Amino acid sequence: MSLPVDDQQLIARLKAGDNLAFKALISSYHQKLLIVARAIAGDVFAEDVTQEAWASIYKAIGKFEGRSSLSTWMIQIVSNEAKSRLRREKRHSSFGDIDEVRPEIDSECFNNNGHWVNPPSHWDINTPELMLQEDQLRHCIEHTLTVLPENQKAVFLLRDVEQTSLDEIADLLTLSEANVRVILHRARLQLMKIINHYQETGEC
Amino acid sequence: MLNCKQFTDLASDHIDLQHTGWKRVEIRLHLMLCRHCRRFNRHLNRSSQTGAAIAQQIWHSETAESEAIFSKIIQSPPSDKTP
Repeated sequence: MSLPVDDQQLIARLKAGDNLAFKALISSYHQKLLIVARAIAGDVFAEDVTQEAWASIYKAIGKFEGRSSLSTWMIQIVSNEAKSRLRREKRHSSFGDIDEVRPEIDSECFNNNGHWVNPPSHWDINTPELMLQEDQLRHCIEHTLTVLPENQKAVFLLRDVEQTSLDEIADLLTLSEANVRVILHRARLQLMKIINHYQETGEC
Repeated sequence: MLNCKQFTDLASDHIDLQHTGWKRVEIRLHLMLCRHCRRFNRHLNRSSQTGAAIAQQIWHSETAESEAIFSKIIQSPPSDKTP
């Protein structure tokens, strides 16, 4: 797999022992690694696990071969650290598999035949670019992302931000792929609900 | 034949191209015929894209926090673990 030019330049600097580049890497990824650690090992161990992962990344960056993206490689490291921490503590994954019942839209939206009676309304602010320009809406979305359950936050991060494949996410978080899909759908529906409410009322 | 409620359950999988064969045909056919579900699909997709763009901006650390994490790495040599 060929890496983006930016990634290649960053990796070259990291391999050359450029500490400023490493600090920039921490700035970009610490919160994300923390989200993954928290989803696997729980809140109690997450900070510790992530710090250990950074130490491993710092030590191993010279041996990074670029078979995957840098972010995938780092997420794999934090996932391994979190899983081994759980084994050491003889605990199970913090959230494990959930029931695979699909989250549903409010049943009042549909008639008995499953067709819309309250269809989705038109959005005036209808592109991501326009939504990003609305301060109040940004605030609503930021808040929603912050309060999402840890499993939804992790799955949303890995899929929609990092573009990780669903089977890889299942492996990283020790979940079934069906569970990953359900959790992802819940996170996206929650975001859509908040945005929809803002489009209708102008409030969070 | 797929109804609207069933489509909304499958919409995320549709975004992630998880359907193949007849299920995919069924979904495409439903979307061709139902403007409400086309709108739902568009809204879900844009919510996910907008959420991802904002997450990318908010899920990062301040310089002081990065410095603190880096200092701890330098102070305590890491153990021998790579993926």
